[in-house]
Amino acid sequence: MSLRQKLLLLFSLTVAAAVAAVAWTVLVRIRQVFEKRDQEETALFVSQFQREFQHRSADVAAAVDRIAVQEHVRSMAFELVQSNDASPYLHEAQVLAQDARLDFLEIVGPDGNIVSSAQWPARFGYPEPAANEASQTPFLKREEMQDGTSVLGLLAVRAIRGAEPAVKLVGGRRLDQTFLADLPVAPGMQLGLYSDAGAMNDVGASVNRGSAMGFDPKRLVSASGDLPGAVHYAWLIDQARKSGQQASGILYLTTRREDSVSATAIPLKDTAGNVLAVLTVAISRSGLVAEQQQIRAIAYGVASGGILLAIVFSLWIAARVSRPVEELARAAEEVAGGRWDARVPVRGRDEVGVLARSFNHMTEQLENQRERLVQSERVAAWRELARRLAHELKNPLFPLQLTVENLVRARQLPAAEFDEVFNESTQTLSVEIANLKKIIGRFSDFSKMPKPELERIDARDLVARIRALYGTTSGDGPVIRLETVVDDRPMPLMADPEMLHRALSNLVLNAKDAMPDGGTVTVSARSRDEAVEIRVADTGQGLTPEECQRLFTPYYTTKQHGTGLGLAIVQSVIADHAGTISVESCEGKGAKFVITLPRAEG
Amino acid sequence: MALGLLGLAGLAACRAQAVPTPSRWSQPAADLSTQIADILGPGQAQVTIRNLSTIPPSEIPSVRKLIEQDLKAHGVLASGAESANSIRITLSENARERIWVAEVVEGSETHVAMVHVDVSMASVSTADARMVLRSERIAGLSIRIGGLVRNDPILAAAEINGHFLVIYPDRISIFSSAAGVWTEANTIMMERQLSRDPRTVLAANADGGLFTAYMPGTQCIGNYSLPMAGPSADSGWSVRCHASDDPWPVYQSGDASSATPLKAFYNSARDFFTGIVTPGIGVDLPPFYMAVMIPRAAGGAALLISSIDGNVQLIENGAMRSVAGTRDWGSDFAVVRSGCGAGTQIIASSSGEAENDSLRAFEIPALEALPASGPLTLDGTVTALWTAQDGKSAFAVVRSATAEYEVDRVTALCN
Amino acid sequence: MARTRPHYGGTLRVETAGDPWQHPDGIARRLVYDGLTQLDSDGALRPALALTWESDGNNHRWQFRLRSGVHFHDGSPLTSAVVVASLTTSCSSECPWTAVKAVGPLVVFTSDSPMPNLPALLAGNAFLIGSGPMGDGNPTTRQGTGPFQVTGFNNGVLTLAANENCWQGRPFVDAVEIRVHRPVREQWLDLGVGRADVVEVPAEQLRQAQQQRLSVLTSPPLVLVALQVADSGTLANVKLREAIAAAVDRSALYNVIFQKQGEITASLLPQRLTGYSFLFPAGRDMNKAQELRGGLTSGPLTLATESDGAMQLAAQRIALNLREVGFNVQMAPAGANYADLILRKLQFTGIDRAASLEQVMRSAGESGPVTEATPMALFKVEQMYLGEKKLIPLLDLPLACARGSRVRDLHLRADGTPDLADASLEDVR
Repeated sequence: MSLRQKLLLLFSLTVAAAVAAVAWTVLVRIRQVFEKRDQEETALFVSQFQREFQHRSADVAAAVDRIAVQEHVRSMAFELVQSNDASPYLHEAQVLAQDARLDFLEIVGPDGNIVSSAQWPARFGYPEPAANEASQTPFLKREEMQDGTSVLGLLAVRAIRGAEPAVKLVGGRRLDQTFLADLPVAPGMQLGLYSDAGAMNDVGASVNRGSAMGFDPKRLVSASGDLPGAVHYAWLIDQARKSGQQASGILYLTTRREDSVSATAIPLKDTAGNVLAVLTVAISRSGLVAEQQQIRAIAYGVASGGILLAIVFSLWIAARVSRPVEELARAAEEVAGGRWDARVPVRGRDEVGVLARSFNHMTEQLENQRERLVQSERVAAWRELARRLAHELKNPLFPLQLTVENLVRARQLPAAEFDEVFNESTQTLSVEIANLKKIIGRFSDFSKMPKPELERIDARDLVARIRALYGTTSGDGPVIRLETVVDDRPMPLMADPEMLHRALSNLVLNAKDAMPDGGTVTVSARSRDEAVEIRVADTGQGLTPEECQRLFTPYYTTKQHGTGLGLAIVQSVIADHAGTISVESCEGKGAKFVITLPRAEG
Repeated sequence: MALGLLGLAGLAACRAQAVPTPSRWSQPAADLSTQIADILGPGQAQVTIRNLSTIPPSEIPSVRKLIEQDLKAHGVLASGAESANSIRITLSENARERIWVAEVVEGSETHVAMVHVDVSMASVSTADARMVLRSERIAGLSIRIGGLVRNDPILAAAEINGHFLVIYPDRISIFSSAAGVWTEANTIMMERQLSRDPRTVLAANADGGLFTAYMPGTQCIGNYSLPMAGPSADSGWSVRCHASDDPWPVYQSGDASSATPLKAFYNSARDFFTGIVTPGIGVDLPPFYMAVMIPRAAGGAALLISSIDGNVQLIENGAMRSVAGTRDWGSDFAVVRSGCGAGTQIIASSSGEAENDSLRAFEIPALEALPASGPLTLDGTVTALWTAQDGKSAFAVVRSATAEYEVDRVTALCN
Repeated sequence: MARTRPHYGGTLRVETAGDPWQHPDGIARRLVYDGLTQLDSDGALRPALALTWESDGNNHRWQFRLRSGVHFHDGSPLTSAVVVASLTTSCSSECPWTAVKAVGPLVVFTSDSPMPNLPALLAGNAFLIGSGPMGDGNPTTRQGTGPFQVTGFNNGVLTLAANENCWQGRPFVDAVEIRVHRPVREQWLDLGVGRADVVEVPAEQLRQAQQQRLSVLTSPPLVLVALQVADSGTLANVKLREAIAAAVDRSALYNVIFQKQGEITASLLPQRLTGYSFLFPAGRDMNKAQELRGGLTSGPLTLATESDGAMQLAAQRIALNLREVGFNVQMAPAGANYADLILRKLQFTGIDRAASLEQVMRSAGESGPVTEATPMALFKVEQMYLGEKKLIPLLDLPLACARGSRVRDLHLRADGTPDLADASLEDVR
């Protein structure tokens, strides 16, 4: 991965993360704000509603009040007390209730018994405990009806003034759908009334009571009939019923987020504190959710735009930042590839500029040093060559000199003797001259290394050929074993098979030479990444680090009769195949030559 | 309820109370005691009596005494509350009769015994002022058929020849007096009159041997011949009826001198007089319900009519004028020669604000009717009122609140 | 004002909350039709279309001789064949007789069981005689012999004209207009402003009517309010029925709902007729009711009533009474054709005790004749019948109406209905 890609990635990730973090924060914050607003709105509605409810209560109280002060009601109460005969007033409550538009109205005599009941006319004469309610404020009560059901009522008790003992009025309105329909609702607001009322004194009263705590969606009604999604209110209502406290929450009526409401359940309690019914105020969140979704959509849009922009910008920045570095890298590569004259353009005065300048300076320096090094090495090589030549040539020259001196001396000797000496001397001379020729020939060979002719070969074949050649040991000399370890997979190479074979042979022979007391030579070949690695290891004396260092220097040899050119030639061949050769050795533990050749494509 | 023992003994004032004789209760008491004894047998029992009937409370002790005596005779002794047996006697009644009920409680068992007792009633009259009107019920004129009292309207009645003729819509009944009680002796059935408000004028000859009954579309003439000996139902009257449109006689007070008796034509379909009279009196009369000739203080006679528009008019000297002070009058009136005051009074019904009608005597010295007596309150409304044959009294048919008809003889007495 | 003679003419305006042709008590029926016999205002039996009647010795056969010269409104004569046809139509089953046939001018009734009360029963509204259709349909085709004949029915007003040839005499008024299906409250208003002459006064509003100083005509108690108890299902147990009888609180019905009108009763016939009514205890006995019910659970019982208004209220009160002793009583929904308990009104007319008893028992569904005559015997009949607790008498109520000031001579007939034919109008000249 290039620096530019890395930079790009880094920049992009950083920007994206930043944008995401910002977007998330914003969204969370927005949700919080919306929820708060939602809660505030609900609370507002609920409080508004409670006020309205209080108004209704006050209305009821006022209606009962108005009845209580009517002249004929007062005279009725008076007569009732005087005559103690309730029968003439049997239908009074119905008429009064109708006029006052009350659902419930009972006239309760001084004895606490009903004189007249609008809601259950047949109940006259029965006691009405609600009449003992001391409170002046309206209260909730479950009112039994004549069809066996009971309904929830908002009732107020008033004593009719003037009559002593008191004749009381217990009047009120039903808390039912009509009542709900009468309450003002904001758009999107849905009122519901959950009431346990129902057939409480039915046959199945016990059954019903048993299930009284269970939520029955049918009992939850709205002003216009059944409340949609009534079942979803269950927990809220149950919570309100159990705790007796107001409970709020968000209800999802369907799987769609828009179909959710922010609901509040308000428990309605009688004077004893029993929850008689639960009023639900649900405010639709569809507008809110839609707004929220819109904002989210905008946020996502802005974020993705930002990220895109960030990538483009990163591209530009990365390009700007990485170009000098790339140029540097390319130049360094060029330098590494031997083009010492590689230079990078210097832009700006920033660190990269300094780097470029330094690089240029460094390559300049390197080039100069290399020049000097080449010259000194060349001198050293020449010195070495001259030393070796002198050494090589000196060895045959010493016998030649001795032979020539012998011949000179031999002239004084008898002819026969002379002849014998002469023959002997000429023989020696020609051997030594041939020896000289041979030495000169090898130097000549080294200088005339041919260019390799590349073809597609398999490293396994190469090893197999070495094995065929050196696998069997000759009878004399030390016992040397040859082992080969080859991967099964093909290891194609583009190489000159002859030259590579000669190089390998050279290494194997060197290894044999390094083990005068016998041992094992191991030749192995294996695939390694994009390369093929060929190893030649021996179990000989090994090499000193110093020897390792100098091993591939031409004309360096550890052998008594080596020219020091063998490993140099091997290195030359490997280099010609774009490979490398290295040696690993510890003294006394043998040496291991490692050839790494690029794997052929395909 | 109109059966009584009160006779038509005289016309004297009679604030009659039916005096209960102990014997009235002795029979039912004995019957009840017998039944109780049959149930209970001899022994002791607690006897309680309560009264749910119209028997005056003052009589209860005597009833109790009677019953206890009779029970004792059957071996049942009245005891205190400690007795296991109890006899609860209720003196009850229904619309027709009294019923005495005994509930005999023996432990948890209750047996019931009942006897019934006949009921009788009494009548009332009233008096007042300068002149007093008295009324006397003519008792016995109601008829029992099959145990049920028949309450037919009485259209007219007259005492003729020792008999009392009573005309009903469908018959003429003749009552004879026996021991002061009028009992029906003969009934002559007629075709029922096709009218809702039938009227009849009964005119009797002075000798009492003949009467003519003028009824809508019908005229009946009765003849009297001495009855055969023996307790025959035949009272001696024979009555013959025939269809007739003849004018009906207008009552003429004895002291209202007039040459020829005046007669008026009657509209049978509408139950009023048409206003046409014969002989003609020179005035076109409106339709009227009743007309009488009355004597005038100035001498001569005048015709007094109650026209159907409710006015009372006096026709005198060829002129017809309204009489003041008659607003409250009923449609009928009678003329009685009392001898008091001006000598002749007109008795008319009125009611004021009261539920029941009352009768009052008036004099008409000029064109205003002046009351001559206090009102006499009756037991109901007056459905017919006419002058009696003797001219000194009037008969009033009174329909009581229970739709019973009775005939009252009304007499004016000087104070 | 003292009684003046009644005027002829004028139109009497009557209002009714019900259907004037309602069988058998519709107000128009008595005006248009007559019966073979009738009861006078006292309740005594009188001849009507039949002049005389006689039975064989054991009351198995009765023959009625028709009055001659009676014609229907359309002029056709009253014949025995028409009478038989009419009776056959009006009584198709559970009749007091087995067969009725025309024999010359006689109408002959025969029965397997004795019919001692037949003449009295025939005076009832159920056996009025008409020619042609008497049921629903065009009212102007109804032909009777009564004092009025139908002339039209427009805008809820039934118009009747006086029958000039009525055998009882032409009625005083020329016409009667009956405004039908008018609520009582509006009837009273109409009476108050002079738009009506005769209006209805239900028993429970009698007191109110008197307080409002209406001119009210009240009959003696003529209507028995009774609770009819089914003797099937859970109520087949007579103890439960007795418990129901003991649980009902008559005094509340009497004192409050029916405003102290009429009288409390536990007998079929009122004290006025028999004198022994007090022998049937009418008190409420909750302990006895509880004891009789004895924890017996009955399923939900339904309670219905035939009419509305006070009867509905009374039924609700009874339901409340019964709930107090543990019966689960529900009001039957309107239109339900069965109820375990039915609050009914049964009418008796006349002063013939046996006939009245038979009339009440017949309307309660008991079809046998009442042959007894003495109070003691009738008491035993009642005791026997009431002992089954299939019918629980509660109250005897009067019937009443109110008349306007221009109406005079208006009386109630024995059945408690106003006798419009005998009424006249004051302001007619």
